[in-house]
Amino acid sequence: MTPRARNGGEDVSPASSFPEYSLEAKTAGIRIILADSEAIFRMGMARIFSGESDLDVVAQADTLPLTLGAVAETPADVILFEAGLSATPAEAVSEVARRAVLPTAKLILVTPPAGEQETVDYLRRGVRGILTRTVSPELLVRCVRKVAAGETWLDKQGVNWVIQAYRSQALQGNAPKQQLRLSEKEMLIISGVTQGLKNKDIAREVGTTEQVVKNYLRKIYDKLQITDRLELALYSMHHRLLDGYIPRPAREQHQRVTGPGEAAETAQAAIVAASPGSRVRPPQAKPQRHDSTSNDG
Amino acid sequence: MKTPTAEYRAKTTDISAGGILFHTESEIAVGSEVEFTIEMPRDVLGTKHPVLVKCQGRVVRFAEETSGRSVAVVIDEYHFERI
Repeated sequence: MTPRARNGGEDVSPASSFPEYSLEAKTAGIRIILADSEAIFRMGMARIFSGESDLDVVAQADTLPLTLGAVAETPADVILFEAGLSATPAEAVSEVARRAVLPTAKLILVTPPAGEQETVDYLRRGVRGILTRTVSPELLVRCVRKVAAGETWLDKQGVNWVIQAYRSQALQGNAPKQQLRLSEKEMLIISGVTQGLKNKDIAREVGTTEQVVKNYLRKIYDKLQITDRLELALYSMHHRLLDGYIPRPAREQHQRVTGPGEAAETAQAAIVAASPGSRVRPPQAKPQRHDSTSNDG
Repeated sequence: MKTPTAEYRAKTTDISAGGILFHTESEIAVGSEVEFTIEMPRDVLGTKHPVLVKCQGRVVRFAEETSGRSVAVVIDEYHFERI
């Protein structure tokens, strides 16, 4: 490695002499490390920053190993890291953040337009700003200043994604923990139970035996701390267990075959609707009762 | 809600796996055997169709309240029926 003093765009060295970073740079402004695989962009950014008195490029790197070395040796306030430096940029940004000399160093990721999951993941890993290469010089400078000041820099869509992610996280936090551990097959079986299917029908749908369905149900009961399918149905209602769950196409096919034919047999007694507003209490100790749905199927 | 001798109109006010609390205009004796059907709406259940749960149970409590009469029923037996 060949450390090389420089400060600002005029001193940027050609790509052949990388790595290049300065351990001597002393500045009262925002210290920036530029990590980008393409010299043209790196030099362009350095030139833009050289025109700003409060922005100082203290090191540059064009590979991930050199970037990790630079951030580990050079105190910086902002690290501009290009996603293309790693095949797994999310993991790379974690490593960069971990190795930074200053724990207060802020990471800005330069990446092609990122999707929702990527964006949220980057932010969770410590990225404070996300830019694309198409960013204007003015916005680039503003971004660095804002991020250095502790703010987050995202486009509007990114902000929406992050807000949505936090909402989802909050909802998950309120949901019962057991729900998170229900497997696809268990969800399929729960869906069958709540639709009034008998164990035999569920077994046919899942492609297994009735005994296996019973075993699954026992596991589900244990997880949700309930004792029978009525409680399961009530639990599903109360906790919206099946919200967002998309059953397999086979289920729809099955419903078309068996559903309508059974309709005429129902609704002979006075119907008391469990309205959406009904308050559902947690399961209580109760006497043994008979569930004919599971036994006659 | 049906007993062996009569049929009543009742409104669910509270439901759990242990039992159901109804509001009703009629007086129903404690210990009476009752039949009723719970309709689980599809939008609440998250399913494609509503599901009926036909229940048999017993009245375990009856109370006169200012807001009306309430009947607590414990569920002894039930089965699901698809609509």
